[in-house]
Amino acid sequence: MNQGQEEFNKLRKLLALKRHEQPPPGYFDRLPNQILSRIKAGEVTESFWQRLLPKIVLRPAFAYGFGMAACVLLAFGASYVLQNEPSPNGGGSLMTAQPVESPAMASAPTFLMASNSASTTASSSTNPVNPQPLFEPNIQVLPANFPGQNK
Amino acid sequence: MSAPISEKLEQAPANTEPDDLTLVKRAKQGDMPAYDELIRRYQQRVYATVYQMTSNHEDANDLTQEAFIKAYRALASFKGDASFYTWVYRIAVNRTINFLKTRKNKIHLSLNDMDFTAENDPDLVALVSDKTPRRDASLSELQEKLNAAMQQLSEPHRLVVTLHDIQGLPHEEIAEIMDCNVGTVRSRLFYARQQLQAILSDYLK
Repeated sequence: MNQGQEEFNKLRKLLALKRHEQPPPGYFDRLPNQILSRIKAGEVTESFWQRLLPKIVLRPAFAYGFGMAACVLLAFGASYVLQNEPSPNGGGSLMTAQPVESPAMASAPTFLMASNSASTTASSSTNPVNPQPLFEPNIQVLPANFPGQNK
Repeated sequence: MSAPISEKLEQAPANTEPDDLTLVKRAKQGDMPAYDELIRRYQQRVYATVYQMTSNHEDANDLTQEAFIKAYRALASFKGDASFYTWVYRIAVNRTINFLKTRKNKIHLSLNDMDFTAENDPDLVALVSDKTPRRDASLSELQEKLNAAMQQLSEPHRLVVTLHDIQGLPHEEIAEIMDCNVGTVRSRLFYARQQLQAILSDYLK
């Protein structure tokens, strides 16, 4: 037998020494209980997300499923918003702007008001776009007063 | 010489006991006694592997517990393609290698005592008596030198020596655990032994 083979055999015998290394007596009787206690304690303290995350990480199918579900929800939400958007011929609430009356207008006599209401409320006609008013709605129109007419 | 742990365990299960797959199915349904039985079947093997990788009882204790806890939480993903103990081994080995990477150069040996059969092991007696008549002292000295030498190996080399030369697993099973081919296992084993022979040359002449 050559020297290399002899050394190898001695090494194997030396490594066999490690099989004799044993943990303290009773260690393997206690270990299962310690593990099960930690498992039970972990189940109590772990939140829903803490339990879900490892499952997602360990199983890529879950991650893909989760991503797909998020995409479907997003697409559904987008289509829902688009369906509820007002139609261009003035059916929606966003397009039916009402003229706002200022306090000054409210207090003025009706016959003194220059009203553009006829033009502003005419948006229900074939033209969906409200035409710009010719005058500011707040302008007060006073009756003309000529010196020669006073009697 | 006492039989390796793997041999002892292979003889242990009787025919009446449920097999691993049955226990796994029951454990998946929340049957804790079933998982307790699985732990009892493989705790010694898993602990021994982790201990021989770390040479530290406290670390081996923590890592063994973590491996079984992680395995329990991942039971749903166990499909039964490999045996349960190969699967648990993989979890324990990966966890241990990650731990050793973080530990790096901070090696602290915390060695277990040797059982009483070591003093009567004829192979060990022969090795010791060549060196010194003080058997007890030299056995613990040999133990310390051997563990220090093991810690000088890289993790993959240490693992193949542990699984093959200490635990007695066949090359094919080691390849499955390490997720590599049998040729890689053989070459790693060859280089690991060469390194150990060089480090321990004073004790092998």
